[in-house]
Amino acid sequence: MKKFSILTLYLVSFLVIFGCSNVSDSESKVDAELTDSVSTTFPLDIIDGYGKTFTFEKSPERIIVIDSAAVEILYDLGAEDRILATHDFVNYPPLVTEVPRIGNAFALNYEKIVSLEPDLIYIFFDGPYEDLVALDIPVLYIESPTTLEGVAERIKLWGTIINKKNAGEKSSNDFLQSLSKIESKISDVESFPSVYHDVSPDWWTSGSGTLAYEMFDRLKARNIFDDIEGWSQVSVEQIVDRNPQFVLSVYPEGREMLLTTEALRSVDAIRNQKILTIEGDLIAIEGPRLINGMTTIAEFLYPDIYRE
Amino acid sequence: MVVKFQNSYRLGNTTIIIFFVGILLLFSILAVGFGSVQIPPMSVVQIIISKLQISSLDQGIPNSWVTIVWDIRIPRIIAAVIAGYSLAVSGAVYQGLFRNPLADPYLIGVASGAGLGATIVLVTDVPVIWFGAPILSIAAFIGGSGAVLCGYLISRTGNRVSLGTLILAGVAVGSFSGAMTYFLMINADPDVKPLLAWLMGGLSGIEWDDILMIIPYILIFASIVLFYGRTLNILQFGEQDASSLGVDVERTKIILILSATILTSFVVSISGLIGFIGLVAPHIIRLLWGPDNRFLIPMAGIMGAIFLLIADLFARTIASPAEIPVGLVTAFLGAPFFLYILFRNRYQVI
Repeated sequence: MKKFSILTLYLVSFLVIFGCSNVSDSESKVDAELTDSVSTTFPLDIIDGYGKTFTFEKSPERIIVIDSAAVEILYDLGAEDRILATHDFVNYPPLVTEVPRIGNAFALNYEKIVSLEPDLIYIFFDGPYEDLVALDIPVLYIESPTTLEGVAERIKLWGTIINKKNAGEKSSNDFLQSLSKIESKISDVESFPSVYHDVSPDWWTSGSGTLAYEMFDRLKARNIFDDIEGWSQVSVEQIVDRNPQFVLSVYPEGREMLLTTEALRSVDAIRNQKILTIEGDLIAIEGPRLINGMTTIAEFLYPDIYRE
Repeated sequence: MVVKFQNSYRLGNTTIIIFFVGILLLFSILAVGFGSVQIPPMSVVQIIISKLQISSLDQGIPNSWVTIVWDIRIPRIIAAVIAGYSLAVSGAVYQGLFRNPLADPYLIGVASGAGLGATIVLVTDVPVIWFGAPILSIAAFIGGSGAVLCGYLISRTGNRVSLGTLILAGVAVGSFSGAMTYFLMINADPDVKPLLAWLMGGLSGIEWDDILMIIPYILIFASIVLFYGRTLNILQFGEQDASSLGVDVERTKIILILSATILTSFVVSISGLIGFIGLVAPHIIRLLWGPDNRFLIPMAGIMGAIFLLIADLFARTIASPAEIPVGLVTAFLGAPFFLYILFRNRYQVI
């Protein structure tokens, strides 16, 4: 049993940290023509996840990125050539398959990390921080943002770090503009559709304080488990009782699982087949693709507005 | 309280069993009244009566309550009783058969094998449900039986099975299966949620269909095991003595291992991996009432059922609207209780 509880722990953390993942067909938008007239002044000081100052003497060229979101942002900013390696589960954009891997959050290959001679390693969880510092590798730890504004800020920050301030600001502004475009499109909506976020077949869902929660909120949708903090397994009884109008399922088997669950047949979303299967990464990875996720959900919740 | 019960009253074994079956029934009925969603007891009674076609449903009761009581709570309670009973009985059988106090349904590799079977389904493109057939459960069963069969074939010399070798082989097969599972996991696409769900163990997804699918097998093999109490008692003197007393030792071993493995695999295939009950329930009965297997086997089952029923009630209500994994509750409630029993009986040799 112990083996399994460790595995379970591994999986839960894994679920929370990486969200769900699938191959997407949308392309990353690399703005090639963009020329950077504004450059970053080095040394550059930024505040890391511990509240300490981290100083860049120069812009990092050889970065090991242990974060799916940062990888997507760097590709978006046209800085993929600086990504030296990443973690095992990064699969977007499609070209990223060629990037070397140095293990996962729970088992980093320190020998390989050292042998690659990075000038920066970026992590979004503090677990391996001390180990990496001990290896004399410049390690930057910043927690992932939990708000959409935070994501925009993060895109801008990466632009500054890699000395592509213009590209960073443009991408960040594009992100915020797309966001307000969606919000203005649904500005006339007055009803607040209730949503169950189906994260796994044993009824894991998101509550308040998560990025997914904020996305629903921006879309005027009400997460039926807004009284839960963070991620949690919930009672099926409560799903039946709270009777969501829509279900958002983030894994491929979700739709069939929901439709074949006897206990859910009185639930509005199931009776009316209002189930959206969405790639989990689109609402979990804190990068530019969140806009795709928002748009997909908006089209699902408000078909009448989007049909026009 | 229960310990005093043993000293102050001299009740026959049958009376004790009937008494605890009564307690189990009472708890099962009471458990239907409790849940994450508050439903008045009178409404619960009305829903059950209407479902049994005795009278029609009161207009004031919402449809969602009917679903909650009939399609969520009752199957789950039945599943808790079946799973608790089966795991504890399997534990009692393994412990008696292997004459090893550490034996439980997981020791001879059944659980790890079942876990591997499920993992293979989940990391490949095989559908979890295929034309209504529960592929995941079947794979778990094949994995669990495969692990036992593997240990059995290794430990068999001629027509004899060495129990010591079977346990050691089971531990090895279990470790190997666990390692394989982990290996497949870390190399798979990270879409592992169905696996996560299965490995967590728990009764939250149980439906009538799941129960109807396994209950015939559970009834048959749980009954078979009941007839072997006396034989298991004789086996405690050693296999040679048992042989000379007219027990077909090899046949007994095969029947009992097969029965206990089927009980475990089928339960595991609907509930995932719920530990602790199979190990602890038989010991509690042994410490309270002694090691007579004729009494131990049914009584361990009843204790296991009561225990899992209560643990699951905690799991589904204590953090409402959230739920906590039942395995957490079984260990959290069960371990201190078991330690207390061990302490009270510390002069007794198991």
